[in-house]
Amino acid sequence: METCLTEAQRENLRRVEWEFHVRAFGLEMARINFLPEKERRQALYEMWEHARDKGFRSRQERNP
Amino acid sequence: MASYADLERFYLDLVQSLRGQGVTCAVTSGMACVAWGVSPSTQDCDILVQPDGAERLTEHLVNSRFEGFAPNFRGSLSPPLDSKWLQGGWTCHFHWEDLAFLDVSGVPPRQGQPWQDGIAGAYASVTTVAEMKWTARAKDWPLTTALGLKLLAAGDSNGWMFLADPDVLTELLATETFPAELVKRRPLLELAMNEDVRLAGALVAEQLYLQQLDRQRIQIYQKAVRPYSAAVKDSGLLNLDLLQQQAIRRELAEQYLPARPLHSISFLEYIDQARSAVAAVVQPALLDYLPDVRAIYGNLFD
Repeated sequence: METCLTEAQRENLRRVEWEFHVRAFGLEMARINFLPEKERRQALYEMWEHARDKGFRSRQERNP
Repeated sequence: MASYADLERFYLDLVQSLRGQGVTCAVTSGMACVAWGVSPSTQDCDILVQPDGAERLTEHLVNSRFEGFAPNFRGSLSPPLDSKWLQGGWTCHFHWEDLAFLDVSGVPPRQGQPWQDGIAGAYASVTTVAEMKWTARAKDWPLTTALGLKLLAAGDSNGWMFLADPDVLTELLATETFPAELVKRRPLLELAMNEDVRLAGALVAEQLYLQQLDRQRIQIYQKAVRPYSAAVKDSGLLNLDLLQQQAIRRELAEQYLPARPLHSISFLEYIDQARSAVAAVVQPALLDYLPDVRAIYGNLFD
C-alpha cells in the first residue's frame, strides 16, 4: 500500500522518528542512525572497533 | 585483524557471488537493520537463501576464505545445509574461526509475503526484517517500531503494523490516518485512532502474544534438535572439515532431526497456547485486540 506523502507529512514523520530514536536508543545512537548510509556505517565500524580494542567480544566471538 | 568494513564486504561479496550463480538470497536481520538506518549491536551476518540453492551455497562456502581461514559448521545444533531442513525453518550456523559468523535460513520464522518478493539491493525488505524482529527478545522491539517508521516514511502504510510504542502511535494519529483494512490485521489500531485508554494495555498484550508465539516456536525447535545435537556430539565430527561434516550431519539429520518440527502441533493449538499465556497476564477483554497472525506464521505449518 504505497502512498505519496506531502512535505509536511515527511517533516512530521521525521520528527516523530527522531524523538523515538532518542527515547529508544539514546542520543548518540540516534545521531548515528540519522547519518547518511556511508557515514553511518563508518561511525558504526569505528564504534565496534573501539569496543573490540577495549576487549569487548560479541557472543559469537566468545563461543565460536 | 580484519576491520568491520572488510567483514561486511566479505558477507556482501558472498551474497553477490551466490546471486551470480542464480541463487536468490538476501542479507537480513542486524546487517539489514544497519542498511535501513536502525543500528543494532550485532556484527554477525544472517542471510536468507532460496532453499533449493543449498547445494550451490555449500560449494561456495567450501571455497571461501576469510583472513585465510576456511569456514565450518558452528556447534552441534546446526542442521546440514540442505533444502529439506531449510524449508522446515531451520537455521544453519557457520563460522570462520572466531572472525566471521554466518547464519543461513531458507524461510524466515515469520513472513507476511514471500521474502523473495521484496529484496532491495543486497538486503531483505524492511517489512521482512521487521517481521523477523517480532522475537521473544525485548531488545528487538524498538527495532520493529523504528522499521515501521521507515516504511511509513517511504509511503508504505504497512508500517502501521509495526509501531509498538504508544507515544509514536498517539503522536502520528494526531495528524495521520491509516487504511481502514489494517484494522482487520491489527485491531488495536482502532483503539489508537479513538484515543482509547486501553491502548497501552492492548500494546502490552500484543507484545506478550508475539513474544510468546516466538518463544513457543523456539521451544519446539529446541526440543526437536536435542537427539540430533547429542548424536553430532557423540560422532566426534566437530574436528572434521565442512564437507565431511555436511555428509555426516545429513546422515544424522535423516535419523534424528525432523525437517518440520512445527508439524507436531496444529496451528490452532499453537495460537491457543499463546493466547492462554497472554490471558494469564492481561485483562481478558484485551485478547480481542490481538493481531491476526495467520498470514505471518501459517507458512511454517503448511
